[in-house]
Amino acid sequence: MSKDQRSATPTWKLYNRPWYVKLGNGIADYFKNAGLMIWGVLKAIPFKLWALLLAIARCFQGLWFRFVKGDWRTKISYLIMGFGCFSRSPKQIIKGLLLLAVEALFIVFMIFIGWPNLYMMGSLGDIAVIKKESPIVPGLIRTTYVDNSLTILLFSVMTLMFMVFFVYMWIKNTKIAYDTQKLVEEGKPLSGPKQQLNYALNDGYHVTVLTLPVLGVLVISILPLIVNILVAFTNYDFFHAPPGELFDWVGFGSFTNVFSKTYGSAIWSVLGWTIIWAVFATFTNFFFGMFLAMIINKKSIKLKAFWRTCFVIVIAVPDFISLMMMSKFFSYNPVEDFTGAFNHMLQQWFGLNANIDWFGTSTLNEWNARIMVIVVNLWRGMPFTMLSTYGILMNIPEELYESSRIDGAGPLRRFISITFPYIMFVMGPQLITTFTGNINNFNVIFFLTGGGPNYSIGNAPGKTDLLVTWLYKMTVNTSQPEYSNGAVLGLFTFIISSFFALIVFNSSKSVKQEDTFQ
Amino acid sequence: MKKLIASLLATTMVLTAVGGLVACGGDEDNGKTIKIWAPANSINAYKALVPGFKEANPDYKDWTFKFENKEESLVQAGLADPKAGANIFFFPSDHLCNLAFKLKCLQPLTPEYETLVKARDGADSVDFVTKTEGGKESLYAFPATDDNGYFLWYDSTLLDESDLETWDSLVDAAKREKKTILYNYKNTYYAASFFFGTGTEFDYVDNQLKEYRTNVDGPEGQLGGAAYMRYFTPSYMGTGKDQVILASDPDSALAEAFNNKTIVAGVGGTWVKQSVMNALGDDYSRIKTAVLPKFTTNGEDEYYMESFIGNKYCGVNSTKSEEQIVVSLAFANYLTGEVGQQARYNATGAGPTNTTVKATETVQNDPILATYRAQKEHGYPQRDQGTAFWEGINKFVEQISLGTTTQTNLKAQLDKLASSLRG
Repeated sequence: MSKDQRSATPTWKLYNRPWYVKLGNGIADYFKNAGLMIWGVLKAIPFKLWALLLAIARCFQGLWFRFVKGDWRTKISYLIMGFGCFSRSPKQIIKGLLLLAVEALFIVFMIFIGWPNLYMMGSLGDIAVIKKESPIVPGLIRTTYVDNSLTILLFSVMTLMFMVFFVYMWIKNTKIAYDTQKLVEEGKPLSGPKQQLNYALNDGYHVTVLTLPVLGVLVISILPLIVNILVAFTNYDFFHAPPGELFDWVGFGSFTNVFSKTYGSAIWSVLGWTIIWAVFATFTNFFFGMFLAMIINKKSIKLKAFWRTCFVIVIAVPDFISLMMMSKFFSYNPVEDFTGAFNHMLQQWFGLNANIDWFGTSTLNEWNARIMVIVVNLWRGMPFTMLSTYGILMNIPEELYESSRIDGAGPLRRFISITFPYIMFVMGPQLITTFTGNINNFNVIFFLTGGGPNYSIGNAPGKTDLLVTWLYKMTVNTSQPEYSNGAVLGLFTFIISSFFALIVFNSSKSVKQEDTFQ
Repeated sequence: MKKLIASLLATTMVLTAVGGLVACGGDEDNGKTIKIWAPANSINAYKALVPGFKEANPDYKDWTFKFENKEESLVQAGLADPKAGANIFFFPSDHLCNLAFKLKCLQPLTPEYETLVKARDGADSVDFVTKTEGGKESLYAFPATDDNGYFLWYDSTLLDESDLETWDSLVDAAKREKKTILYNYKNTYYAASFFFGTGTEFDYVDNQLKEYRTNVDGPEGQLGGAAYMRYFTPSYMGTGKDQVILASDPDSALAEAFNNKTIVAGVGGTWVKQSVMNALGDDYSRIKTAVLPKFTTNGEDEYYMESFIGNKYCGVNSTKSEEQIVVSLAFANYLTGEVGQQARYNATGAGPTNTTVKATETVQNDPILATYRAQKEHGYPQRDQGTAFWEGINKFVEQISLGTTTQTNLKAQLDKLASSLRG
């Protein structure tokens, strides 16, 4: 979106209004821009679709044209790939044979893996297991696994991908055949093996070198992604688990399960807590880190490096250890001899007769857990923001402060007008990135509360569960996993995360188009 | 130079993409090797049986038998890919339906082995593992041990027989001695015994583990609920330093508690014997075992606490080649026959299912096994259960112990438990 398309309340309108009006307008403009951008994307979809249809039509037109205008060699190369090359001149044998090899490999693949799996993609297998008596040993019942729904799904998608690739190669083959024919007709020399090799190693090197990695990425990264999305439309769970059993397509059945049937409206409360957690986690870290950096930065503080080191040591300890330690430190047991160290400290050092359930595990107090999680995350995340803001603070020119002091600005005024805008300008995009990251902050929640006090049983979410920790609980950390519901949840998490990521994209563009700050 | 870097980068891309595949390779059918998963304390005893087996079956003398350590409760997870699992494995009774009818990797016994097993093993062990599938009834595994249950361990210097009759007398004795009782009421495995005692049932009806039957919201369940309300409310148990019934895991805490003399009695399984013996050394003779005490719901009607009881079975992997299955069946039969069970008892003290071994003097006089046999009369066979059972009862008892469930909402909690169990 260009700067002209973006809407922004003109500066003159906000000239003399109080700070909260400006802030409100800023936030409103922000979301308006995000909405306009999304609307722009949606508006463009029909045009893109039309462009796609045109491209496909042009492709067919080209194919037909080449078939009609081609000579008998080109026509045969529609059936036997590469024929147009190696039959025309011995110089192009290698090229032709390579194309023929592609076709042969594809046919072999289709016979052995492709067709058997693609054929069953609709039903995802008929029989999982066959039991029959062995002809050799009397009375021995042999169990054979026949159809495995998961491998059928996997190989069907792989077959579809390879079919697309093959169609692309076939179209290219017709182009090559026709071009070669044209070259011969015009009397131009054909490229020989040496020139082809030269092409492969110089101009066409990117093709030579990237074919295998791209295929690898397609099969190993993209393929599982597509299969996982498709699993959301099946009923793959503990009761329909290959190899012993089959699962089927259920359309949107798993979606209704997650959104109403099995879990009721739990997903919306989990989403609500996820957003609240992300907001609090990001902004408490930011503000407290900033204040800490400002305090350490003050001229009257001695041993600045020592204080910085104290706080930075927290970062040095790995997540897993420090969070586990915290969860044990604040643990609670109704029997006072077994309660956690912090409660002991309160009792013995301060004489308070307190045995508090900090994480709400035993007394099922969800607010204890939620507040504690945010506080412990603050303890862990503050050093990061402190370090970044410290660097920014050191860079603010002293003259601004001096001149503001001369003008009679108090410390609060200096903070609001100089320090804070400066920091926000630099840290703004990073804040939003951290916010998007905190939506999926698995470590903190899982190691501190494991999803929090849980009123319900089975795979239902606990009170501090984020979308990702609930997904983990539903698929890995349970004895009756529900993979299809997990895939639905994963899709939902992706949509939510990408919504915020789009806002980041929008804001980063807007920041880039600011020429200078001030 | 650029080209070199480009090709290096591309190779790295391929390698990192494909590198993850190195780990998977799967076991090919390794010809004449039989892999066996057995619990750690029994591997040596079973290894010593291999020469005898080869002598009795000279056809199999060039087969190799490889033993690997795998605890019985972990076998189910290890067989998620049955083709890569072991040929022979030991599993507890509550994994039977999952292994046989969901993963479908348990080999049903051939008629000749069926007759052998029926002739030599205890009837209850055999009946448990006989299942009907597709109209055909077959045995799905060889019974291996019969001692998977828990009962009361007590300090005989502090308590006498009369104190062990009922929960009330036990708690009074603990208060008298100013000590505590270790009973992990926070773990469904131990806590469900009150429900079983009043006749509440919790079971899957079918082999496929799809339909659940329970009467926890019926009269039996309400009696069980009343029992929990009587014994596990904070007012009865005491709170803080006065708490009489402490919930700790007996596997780790029982031995130490007996050693420190902080408890009069505790509820633990047959398997804690080793840790208690190790902790107490010569002092072990003061620790005795007894059947779980009776409880009452209203002061008049008495019920026995029913513990979980079960066997461990030896199963053969049905997804391997036919040759391997034939040898595996023969070897599994040998491991769970008279010789095998005697060897396992001598090495680990595991209770046998074989009637001949059961009748020997040492087994008859073994105090742990004698108490287990007595407890079996008040025992609930452990069958396949799901998360809803394990977590449901856990939460139910925990709510009572925290005081959040009272007489008024007890029925509602029982109904909630029932509906979540039925799915």
